Amino acid sequence: MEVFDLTLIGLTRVFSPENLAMLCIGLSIGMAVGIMPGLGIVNGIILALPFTYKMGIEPSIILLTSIYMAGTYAGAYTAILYRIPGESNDIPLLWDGYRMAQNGQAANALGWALVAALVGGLASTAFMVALARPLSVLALSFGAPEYFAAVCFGLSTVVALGGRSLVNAIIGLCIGLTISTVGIDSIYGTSRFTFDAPLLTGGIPYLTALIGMYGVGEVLSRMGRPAQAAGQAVSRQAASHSLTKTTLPKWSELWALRATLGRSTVLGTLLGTIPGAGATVTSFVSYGVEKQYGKRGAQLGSGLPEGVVAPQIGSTASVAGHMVPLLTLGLPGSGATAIILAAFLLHGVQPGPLLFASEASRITAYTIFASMFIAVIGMCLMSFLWIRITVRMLSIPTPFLDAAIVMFCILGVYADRNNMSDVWMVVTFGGLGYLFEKFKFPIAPLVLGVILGPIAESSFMQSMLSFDNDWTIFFRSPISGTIMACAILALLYPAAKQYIGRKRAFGTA
Amino acid sequence: MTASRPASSDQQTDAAPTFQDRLKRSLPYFLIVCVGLYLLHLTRGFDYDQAAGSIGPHAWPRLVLFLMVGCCAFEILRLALFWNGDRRSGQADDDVVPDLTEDDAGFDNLAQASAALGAIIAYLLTLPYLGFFAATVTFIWSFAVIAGYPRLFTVTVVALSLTLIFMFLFMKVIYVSLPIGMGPFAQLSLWMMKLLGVT
Repeated sequence: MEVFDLTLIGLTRVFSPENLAMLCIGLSIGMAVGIMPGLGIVNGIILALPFTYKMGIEPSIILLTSIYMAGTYAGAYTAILYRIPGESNDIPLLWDGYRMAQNGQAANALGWALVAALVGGLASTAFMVALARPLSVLALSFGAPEYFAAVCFGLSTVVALGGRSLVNAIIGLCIGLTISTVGIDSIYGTSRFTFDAPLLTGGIPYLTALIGMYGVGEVLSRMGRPAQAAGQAVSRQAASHSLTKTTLPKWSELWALRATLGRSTVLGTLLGTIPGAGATVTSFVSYGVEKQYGKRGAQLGSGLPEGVVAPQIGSTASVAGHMVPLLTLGLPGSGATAIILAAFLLHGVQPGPLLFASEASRITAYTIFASMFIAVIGMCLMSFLWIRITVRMLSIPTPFLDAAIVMFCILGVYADRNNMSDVWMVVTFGGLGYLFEKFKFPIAPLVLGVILGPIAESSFMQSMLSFDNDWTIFFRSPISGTIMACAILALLYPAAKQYIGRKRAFGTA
Repeated sequence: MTASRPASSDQQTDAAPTFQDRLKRSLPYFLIVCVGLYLLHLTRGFDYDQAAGSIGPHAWPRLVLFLMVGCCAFEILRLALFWNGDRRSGQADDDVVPDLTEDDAGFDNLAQASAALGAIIAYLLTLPYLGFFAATVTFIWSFAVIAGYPRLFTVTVVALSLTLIFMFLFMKVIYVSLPIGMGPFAQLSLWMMKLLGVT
């Protein structure tokens, strides 16, 4: 009952002028970054971050989560109509959504995508609201070994889902964890890897790694690719494409797809809670499950509504799912939630179980939850009103967009502490990000390693000091033992998948 | 189900990789091993008051670095002994999770990326002298030209407009003190700030 009351209080606070304005701005930015092929959701959140410095905690987080939420949906429009996936999570929409458009059912495909985003977003947010309090109570009972195990699980799933090469992902993670050790050690006060440079004594701010790798690194990688001009030409052509209205499905049609709606919502939300399983993974997995277990799975790819509903629900539902570990444990599972964590920390608020401890912070947390309900509804309404204007942004030439992103990255970091050293670090990480992309190392494990490294180290060291350096404590305690087992399973998953794939390939050869 | 993706030109080779291919692929791992070993060596010099039973500030970095060096060594060995080229035959058909690190377009345009990085570095080096306005106009202009935008007049107009927007947003809206530069550039910056109503 308290949860319901708090959500209602949160709802009333969302409608305060500042919060509502931030929600609308966030949705508009999210729509824009969602449809622009070169501009990812993470980029969009990074661009908005500097503007949150002077705001309160509630409008800041509402702004960033709204961008995140809308970013997972807006790309459906361009994917279905123009075959341009704004984000990688929109790729499955090409297979059936674009085919529907080719079959003259573009308006229906857009309607299905809208319903899917609405259902997935609302259901997963409700799940998050219901789960947040019990999880935070559970998290309060966590000691250092349990926390270490939780961080290990988060990092292992990020590594496991990070890309084709597990080894590259682990190496990226280790580089991130090593970067996080630079500076004065918090337990012994020892200077580590500082090379007597005052710049490194205070450690490397993770914001610089985050913005450098995702912002500047992404721009440099894009410039290193030759296909840029062709993509731009497609974008221009798309922007001048005729406009299509959205036709919502009838109740009877919705009822016929109830299994797909239910299955994909549960899958998207649950997968979303797993660190590393971002909107892209949930979207692909939802489509894959629909293909395997759906009533018309074998016909997917020929332009069926199920092929639009499943991935879109998966994408949108993952947003609320991702917010669960961030808000209850303080552990971000993706680049987007890592930046939202940064925004929390910039305002002096540490997300985690203590966020639910006091009345004031509980209200803040539930205001953020409530804003996500409104954001889901708002983004669906905006898709009618705003997206046709937003889609014209596709005609912005990439060079100007890239220059603006670099400027936002530089100024965003500079604005935090008015320190040019931070800017140089961003550029250094940008170069590293380019090298990572070039040599096919996933970026997410490194960034999350930098962010979660201090938590991992302090909980590891505290466990060692408290339990006489007995490392088996991580496996002996029931909670940490279970989480560690999950972490090991997550690490074994890619190897097992590859082994089964090879066996199948040899079997069919 | 299969996420159909076009094949990368450099990846679907049927010929067995040569020694040079293996060396080229192993190079990043060699580099990381060297850095890792050097950092491991540095951990021996961490100075702290050794209390009984404490594992010291080097324990965690060593654990991480050993894992990193071990993974690199594994990959170097794999590339040297077991790698037969990047063919897809061994990949699962039901791979529903896309490979997010893969870029089918390749990274052919190293010169453009390097020039862009050079432009960013030049921008940061000149910023204290030219001030935000002059340096940013020059940077955006050169960045767009490097990125291959052909119309110079449009580039100039956009560079000026974007710089003014950034100045307004960061100086007027979120009160960031941006560098004004030296000599005549400082005068120019102050004049532009006055124009934007930044006091």
